[in-house]
Parts: sequence; structure tokens; C-alpha cells
Amino acid sequence: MKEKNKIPTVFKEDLKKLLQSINEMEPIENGERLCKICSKVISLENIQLIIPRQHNTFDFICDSPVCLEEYNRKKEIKK
Amino acid sequence: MNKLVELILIYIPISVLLVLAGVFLGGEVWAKGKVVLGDILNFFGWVGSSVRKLSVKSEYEGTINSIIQDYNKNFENPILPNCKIEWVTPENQKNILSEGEAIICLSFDKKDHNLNFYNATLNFVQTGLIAKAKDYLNKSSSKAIDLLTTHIILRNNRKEVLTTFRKKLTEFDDETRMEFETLVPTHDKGLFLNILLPEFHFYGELIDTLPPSSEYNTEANGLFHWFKELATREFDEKTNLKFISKNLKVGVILVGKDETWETQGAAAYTKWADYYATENYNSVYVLARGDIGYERATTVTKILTHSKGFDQINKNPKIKCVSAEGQEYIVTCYSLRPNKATIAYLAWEKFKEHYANGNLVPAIIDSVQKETIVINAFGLRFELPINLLSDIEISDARKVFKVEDELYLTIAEFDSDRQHIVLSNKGTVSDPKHFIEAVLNANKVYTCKVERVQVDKQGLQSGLKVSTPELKHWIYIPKFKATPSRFLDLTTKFPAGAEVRVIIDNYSSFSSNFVGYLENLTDPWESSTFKKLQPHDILNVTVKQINEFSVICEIEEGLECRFSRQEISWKSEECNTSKFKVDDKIKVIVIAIDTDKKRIDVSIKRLSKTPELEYFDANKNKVVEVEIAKIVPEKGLAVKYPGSTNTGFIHWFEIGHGSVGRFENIYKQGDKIKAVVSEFDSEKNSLKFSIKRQFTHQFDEWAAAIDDNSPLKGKVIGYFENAAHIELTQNGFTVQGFILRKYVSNYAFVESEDLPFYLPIGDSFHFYIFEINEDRKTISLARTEYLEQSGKPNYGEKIKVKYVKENHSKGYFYSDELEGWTSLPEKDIKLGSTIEVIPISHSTGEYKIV
Repeated sequence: MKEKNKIPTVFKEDLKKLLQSINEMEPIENGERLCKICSKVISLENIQLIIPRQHNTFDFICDSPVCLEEYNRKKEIKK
Repeated sequence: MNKLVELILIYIPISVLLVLAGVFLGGEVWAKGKVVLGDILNFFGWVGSSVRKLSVKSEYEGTINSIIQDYNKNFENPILPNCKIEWVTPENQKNILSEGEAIICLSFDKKDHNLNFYNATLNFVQTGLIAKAKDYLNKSSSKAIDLLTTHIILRNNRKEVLTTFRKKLTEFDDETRMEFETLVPTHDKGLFLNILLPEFHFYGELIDTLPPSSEYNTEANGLFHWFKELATREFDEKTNLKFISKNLKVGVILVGKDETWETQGAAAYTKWADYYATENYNSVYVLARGDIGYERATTVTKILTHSKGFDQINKNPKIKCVSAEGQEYIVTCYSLRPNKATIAYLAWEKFKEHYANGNLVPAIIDSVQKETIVINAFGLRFELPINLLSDIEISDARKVFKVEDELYLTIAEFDSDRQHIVLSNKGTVSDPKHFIEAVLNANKVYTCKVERVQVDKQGLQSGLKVSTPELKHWIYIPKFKATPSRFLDLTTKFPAGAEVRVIIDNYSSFSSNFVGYLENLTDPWESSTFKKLQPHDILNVTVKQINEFSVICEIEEGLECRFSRQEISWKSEECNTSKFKVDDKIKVIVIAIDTDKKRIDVSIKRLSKTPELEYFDANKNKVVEVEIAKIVPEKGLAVKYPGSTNTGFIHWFEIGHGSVGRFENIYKQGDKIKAVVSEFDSEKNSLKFSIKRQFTHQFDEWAAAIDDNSPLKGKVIGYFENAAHIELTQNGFTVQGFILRKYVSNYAFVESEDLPFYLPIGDSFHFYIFEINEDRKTISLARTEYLEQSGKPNYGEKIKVKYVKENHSKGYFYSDELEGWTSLPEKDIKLGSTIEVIPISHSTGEYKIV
């Protein structure tokens, strides 16, 4: 338990670069990405979680704490 | 000057850099330092992106880790994990990103800093803290735990983010918010971090080693709800202090009441720890409130850790809390874990010590069967057979003892080497005989609740079972002590839950029950209703029992009356009891009340009167003149009475008090005689008369008052066939007797027609009692003995006597004191006339008329 939980984090100022590197910048700017939970359009402003999926695809969660809770909960249940 | 400027330009940045380096290094080991570093770097954010990034990292890690470090310090082994931010950049993303593992955004920009910070904290709490157990909780409970934990972290170090927390809380569903609101007070009382989080942590670690099962959902939610009830209880409110499930058992010891501490000391609490240890509880918490509570809880914990084999899990049990009114107070929470091997060793040491000192062993009942109970003492379990439970006989231990009852036992046998011990409750302070005696002597009225109506094997109601919070066992009230009525359906008057006031009467060791009666139970035969009751009263009654020949009704609860079949109608064909149903309401008239026999006779048909009944009601027990209409041989006399065409009857045994003889020879048709109106035969609608009842016959009182060896004086009243009717009065009591004619004289054979001369009506004579028949209440008299004993006159002395009988050779005289015979007189002497005689021979009884 003494081990630290490593939390993959992106600094908001580095977000654009990261999204560009994973080819998600354009879809987001085009409003093509939706929150996995509430289906809100994901933007650079409201993005909270980026979840890598198979085949270089990504899910996104908006900055609503309710969506965050819901996502984590579903993730735990899937587990 | 230039040198000075040069020095300043060199040393100031170096100093700043050194300070920053110191804070940074300090922050690595001291989390709070990171918060400070984050704040300082926030000020220097303008310097560049790296400073801003470091500021955000320091703030986040510092905020979370500072509280986690504080928390973990309280435990031997850390419970919650620290966190470390790992920045994802385009350069390292291929190494860091893994499928399904979310990347969280953190911002330095004030615009979204707080929301991002809040989300990141919530995310850490949700994914990093007690995650293994939380999965099994209900959604709202799990979310509420996350929200409260997040709130605690933010409140500690990032109060400005709490505004965001409050705003965003409204976005959660109602159920989650309500759960959160109910959970907040548990933290205010210091128990959320000290009981719930550790328990869920340990539970998560435990079930992580077990195969998946849906039962974990039940367990986790059960633990959560039990905790909420415990932590939100008011002072002195009853709470379940134990959580028991398949994989988890948590026990709490509340060191609360002054009274308990003062009377029983620490033992009142340590015995519960023993119990929890025996029952394999995973955790035991010792809780207290206030400074005194802290001292006492500490004393208890010291005993448990030093001498009872418990390990203390948390290091800082003292929690500062603030009430809703802003008042600070201390909550003490010791987290303990029983160590089985140590407990067993210490228990036998304790037994040895108690045995040597003759001390009582405190124990708690673990389970109760009919003939045995299992107790635990000092953390070990023992069985006590029923014969060692009390000095009094107990037939069923389940009725006297309950699980978790506290006992103080003597050690009857002990061998520490063989680990052999026999414990006994006989004669100890916890022997139920004391309790039973105390209850019986209390003479107290208990307010009880009806639990159920007791039914016997035949399905008949036998009584009530009632309970009172003052006694741990139900009280049995036999039906006759709950109601005076034989017919009452107890379920209607005493439904389950009804309140009754009960006085305990005795204890039945046969059934191991207290037996009581209702306080307001009254004897209906003492009631005002009964006392006011008079013959001829008309009542509305309820039919309760229908027999072939009679019907029993109730006037009021328990006050019974009855009528025979013939009292239903004047028409015999209508006299059928089957026409009634139980609980019919009917009108009746009272015809007789027997207080001694508690019997009330009623009638329906007499509600309407016949001329015979009218006559009876008007003349009952009065002496009237009747005319003999017919003599019915061997049975009696049919008589006519005034105002009726019907006849009444005098049964032969109602003629006289004694040997009447053949009444056919005494009476003849047309004779007018006096008789008492004695009975009404409702079946035949006819009257019965009695001749003898016109004469006073105080047999029992008279018989008790007289000397039956002495002569008694009596008056001649009349004659039967072969006897005279004599009325005796002694000591103020009057009775009716008789003398057979053969006991009238020693000289003559007295015929029936002689009796009026020997014993004339109205004259008084002396008699001896010949025989008293107690059963028939008859008194048989004799004069022969009296006359023999009476003094004889002197020769030549003239005596006045009555000339009473004459035959072909002799004449006979008679008086109270003297009798004899003479030669036939030369001239006729009327029988019954007075003559004078002188004695001739005392031995032969011969006299001479002068």
C-alpha cells in the first residue's frame, strides 16, 4: 500500500499537442466527439478524461463530476 | 556600489532558488510542503509552462497526500494509498497510455482549475480508495462515500474548491445527495474515517482473496447501513452494536453510562470484548465521548490489550469533533483486533487466578437450548447444563435465559493442566432465583403488551402471554385470571398489542414462566350488578352455552344465569333449547338467586304470568287454607286453593316432621287444612304446598344447643297416624318432634284414638329424646323413661290425674309426672276428665280412685 497510485494526467496546456499526437484534435474541433456518459459535445474546454480504447481509438468524458462518477463506476463493474 | 549591486544580483536569485529547492525537497517527504510549494509556484506561474505544471502537480499531490499521510499515521500499516501524477506528453504517451486507463486533465488556468481539481480529486478517491469493497455497495451509497471523502480532502487543504463541490453536488441524483447528507454527520462524529473506511478497506482486502459472490453486495450494504445507524444514534438511544455477516463481524463497545461505570467498572465492557473474541469478530471498536469517556475507554482498552489478547490497530484514538452548535468535544475510537492464541492463554490464566481467589467469573450467554446454555468467559466458550443454572428447578432454560444475558459464575471444578473447568450459576448473583424472588416480592403492577392468546392441545384458549420491557420473559395469565367469564373469546377483548396491567402472582418452575393476573379482574359475584339483583328483575342477557336441557347466559362478563328447558315456554312443545344460538341476546326474568351457590335461575316464559304463577308470586311462603280435593295414596294430597280451578299438591313428605304414618288414614277429602305455598312447578304450571313448613323447625341450631340426655318440655300440636306431633322450644330455638304411641305409657297399650286423652293438644309434657335423625332432621321422643324416673307419691297421698283409658278389667290414668291403673270404677268416668287417686302398690302401679 505504500506504493503510490500513479495517475496519468495531461496538463491542460499540453492537451492540444497530445490530442494532435493521437489524431483526435480535428474531430474534437469539429464537434465529432461526445461525452461517453452524457453525450455532450466534447471540446477543449470541457474535456476531463481521455480513455484509450482498442485500435487507437479514444473515449472522452466531460467535466461533469456526475459523468466522471458514472464512468468510473461502470468501469469498475466491467472489471 | 557596483560590487554591491553585483552581489545582490548574484545572491538574491540564488537565495530564492535555494528556498524553492528546500520547499520542493521538503514537499517530497512532507506532503503539506507540497501544498506550500504549489502555492509559491502558483505565484511564479508567469515564469513559464514548467513552473505552472509543477505548481499544479505539487498542489494536487500535496492536497491529497497530506491528508492520506495524516490518516495512515494512525495505523500500523497504511490503509490508503498516496497518489503521484504522471504527466502524459506526446513524447511519452506510447509508454504510458494503456487501454481503459483514463487520462485526467488538470489545469493551471483559473477558469477551469477548480473544476478540474475537484474532478481529479473525485477521480482519485473513486478509483484509489477502498475500491475493492465499494464495488459491492449500492450506487448511491458508493457515490456518497466518494463525495464525502472528496469533501474531507478539499476541506482540509483546498477550501476554495469547495464552492465548485457545492455547485456540482446539485448535479447528482436525489438519492445520492440524500445519502451524502446522511453520511456527513458520521464524519462530524469522527467515525467515518475511523470505522467505515478502515472496515471497508479490510473487507475489500478480505473478499479480494475469495471467489466472486453476490453475497458481498448484501454484506457491504449491510455494513454500510449498520454503520450509519450506529454513527447517527443519539446519546442513550438503543443501537445494534454488532454487525454480523458471513465474512465480517464488527462489534462495538460503548463506554457511555456513568451508572454502568460506577457500579460495574471496566468489567462491564471487557466482558463484551471477551464475547466478541469468542464469536470470532474481526474488529472491535471501543467508543466514548468526552474527556471522562476518553479516560474510561483508555482504561478498558489497556485491559484488553494488556491482559485479554487484543491488538490495538489505530494509534490516535482521540478525535476532535464540533457539534452543530459549534461546541467542541472529544470522541474516542479505539480500533482493536482479537488475537486468538493470546486470548486462550490469558483466559486460562484468568481462570486460575479467579479459582485461587474464589472470585466470580463474568460471562455472557452465547446460546440457549432447553437443557443447556453456552456461555463465553474471558473469550472462551463453555457449556452449562440446566442443573448448574440455578438453585431452583428450571425445566426449560430458554424461558429463563436469553442470548447475551450477563452471568457471574462460580468455578465448581478446575484443573489448569488438563484445561478442565466446571462453571456454575447456582446461588450466584445471576442465579435467576434472585430475580424471580425479587419480582414476586415487588408486588408491582406491570404495564404489559398482549403478545398472543395461548391455546392448548385441544385448540381451546387457555390464557394470555404478555410482555413488558421491565421483564425479559413473557408472563402467562391463565384465562380465569384474565377474565371471570368461561365463554369470553380472549382474542376479541385482548388483541395482540393491547395494553394490560398485570400483577405477578407466582413463578411456575414447571413451565419456567411468571404467572400473573389482571389488575382490574373483579369477581362478578361481588359486583354491584349482582348485589342489586332481585327475583322478578327483568334482564337482557347473552346466550353463551346451549345444552339439551338448559341454556347458560351471561348478564355481564362472568356473571352467569341459566334457565332449564321447561322455562322456555308455557307450551311444552315449544320448550326446545336448540332454538337458541350462542351470542343471541334474549330477555329473561330472575326467578331465584342463590348467593352461596353462585347461581341465578331465570326464565323466559315467566315474563308472561299464568293465574297460578300470579297466585304463587302473591302468596309464596304464606300460610293459606286449602281444601283436600283428592287423596292420592302413597303420594300425597291434591288440594284446592282460593281463586283457582287448578289444584295444588302436598307431597307426603311435606306433611310432618317425623313419622306421619299412613296419611290416607289421617286426612279425608273435603278436609280444610292449613299449608304453606312452597313451590311453583313451572313445567306443570302448578303449585306445591307444605303442611310441615308452617311450623318452625330450627333443627341445626336447636340440636347444637340442647343436652340430649336431659328431659325436654314440649307441647302437643297434633296427631299423626301412630304418633303425636310435639313442638319443642329450648334455648330460643323451636323444632318439631314426634312421639310414637308405644313410647307414651309404661302400663297401657296406647291406641291411636287414645292419644288425644293421653297427650291432649295444647298440653305440655316432659320427654326424653329417643332418636335424632340428622339426615332427615327428625326428632323422635319418648315419655316412658321419664315416667319411670319420676317420683312416686306417698301412700295415702291424693294425686290429681286425667282418666285416659279403660278396658274390660282396668282403668288408666295419666299426667306429666305420673301414670298408673285402677280397678274399673263402679260408676262411669268420662275419658279425659280429672280424677284423684291414691297409691296402692308402687311396684304394680295400682292406684285407687278416691
